[in-house]
Amino acid sequence: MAQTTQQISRQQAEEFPLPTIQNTALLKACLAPKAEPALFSLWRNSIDFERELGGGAFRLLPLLYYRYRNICPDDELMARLKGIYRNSWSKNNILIYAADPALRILLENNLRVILLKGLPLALGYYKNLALRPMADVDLLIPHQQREEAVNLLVKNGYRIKEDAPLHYIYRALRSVTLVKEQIEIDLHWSPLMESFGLQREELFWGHTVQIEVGDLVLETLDATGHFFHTIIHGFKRNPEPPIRWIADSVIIYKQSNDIDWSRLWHLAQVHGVILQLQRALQFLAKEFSLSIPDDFKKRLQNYKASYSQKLLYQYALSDGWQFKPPSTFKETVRMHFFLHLRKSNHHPFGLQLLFFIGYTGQLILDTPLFFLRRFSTLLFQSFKRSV
Amino acid sequence: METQPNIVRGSYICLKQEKAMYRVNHPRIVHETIDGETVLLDLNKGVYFSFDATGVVLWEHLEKFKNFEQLLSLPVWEDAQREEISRFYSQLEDEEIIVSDPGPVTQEDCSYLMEGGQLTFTYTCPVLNKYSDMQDLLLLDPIHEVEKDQGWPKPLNK
Repeated sequence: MAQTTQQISRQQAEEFPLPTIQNTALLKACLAPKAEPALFSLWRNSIDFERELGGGAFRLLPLLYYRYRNICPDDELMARLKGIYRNSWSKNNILIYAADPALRILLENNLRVILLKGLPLALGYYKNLALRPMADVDLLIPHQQREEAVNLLVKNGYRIKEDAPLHYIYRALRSVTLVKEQIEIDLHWSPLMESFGLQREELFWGHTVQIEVGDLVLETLDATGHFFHTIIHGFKRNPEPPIRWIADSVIIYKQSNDIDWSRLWHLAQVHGVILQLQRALQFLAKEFSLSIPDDFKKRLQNYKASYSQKLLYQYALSDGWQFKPPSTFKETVRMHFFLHLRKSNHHPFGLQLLFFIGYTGQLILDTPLFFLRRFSTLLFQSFKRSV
Repeated sequence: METQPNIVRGSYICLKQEKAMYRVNHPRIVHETIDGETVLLDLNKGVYFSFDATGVVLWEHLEKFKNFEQLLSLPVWEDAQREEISRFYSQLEDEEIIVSDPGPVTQEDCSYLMEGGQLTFTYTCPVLNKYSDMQDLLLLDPIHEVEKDQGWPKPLNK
């Protein structure tokens, strides 16, 4: 029987964060306990390198080169793979050099800064700057210090990338992007798109470790924090095939060998993202032999997610959070509803609907001109479409 | 845009410092040696350098030892080789990849470079490759816009 559109959409949403056959072959070549020529060949034979690689796969190529440079040295791709390694090494070094002044400004003004994502993973887990390509630098700052941090960076020549007033950004979003010349700094006050609230953010601040970047000493998440953040951040719809979360989480798991499973459960439960964790760990255990404690598996299986959490899970997998700006009034309302929902996804759904009215009203009152502009644009687009 | 490597070939030049004590110009210069090739970045100027073979041996020596004169005084070098090595270090100095080290002159053991009166490696003239415009290089597609047998940063010769 032919599948309905809704069924296909649901199926795509279910499968989306998991890699294609080609990308699974690439991931296995990169992450298998032992690098074997057969794994490299399997990937080589599954793709047309000149045509269909894709950005997600491209980001794994430095790691592929590093593992197979001595195992398949005569492969005709090896020279270009080495070039990609050099390219990644150069870009990451330039990025760190460019980010250094911003990091100094924040530290000299006694702001706490946690490094998130690429940079701490490259230095702390991949242990080689070339192996984990990065596009920007991600920082987590305390909620209470976000305005001070933004003001300091703006005063030092950074500009805000988002086309929205800061009032709106602080109220509705969880990060702001600051740009100066070629460097982009994502300043987060909440590490996760899926859920935020003061109490939840503090779960990360109490479990940091030190990391050296040049002569600067900063903080980053502990292994469990990185493992959790990598999975939940990556397990969603993304314009790039979302495979890097798999490489990152497997590397963190193998390098640290120190995942605190009870803390991981607590983090996922408090953030209301057990469903994401469940699906992701199932996949990692099946394809990459991650050993998950039996009692943890049972807790995952027995967990009953709330309606709000299920909605947020489907939204993250089907529509994504930020990559496609809403183009209709309905989409705008929907996006804001989910933005609101993630803040308090433990409340009953009915209560959420009531809160949403208050939340929207406050948001419009805070930034009336911004909303007026947004709605005019939507009306104009709608008019254009109808014509 | 300077996309072709500019192979720096100067005439024989004596190094500027009498003491000939040198160190890598950290943190401005970052470097990594992989698979028989050393790559370097001048982060201030946005310039990419590379060398291989004997250049890598000399570079690794420089990372451990500062005394250039002592390296040259090893009895294994032929005159032409001494000249080439001197020129290579001079180029590194001109490019501000290495800088004079103000510390006291140290006596260093360079004997690991020779065994039975012979070099422990096959000598080839060290060549410093230089790519001047990083911004343009970084825009190159490292799969389709580079020489297939060399990879980034060597642009495709159209």
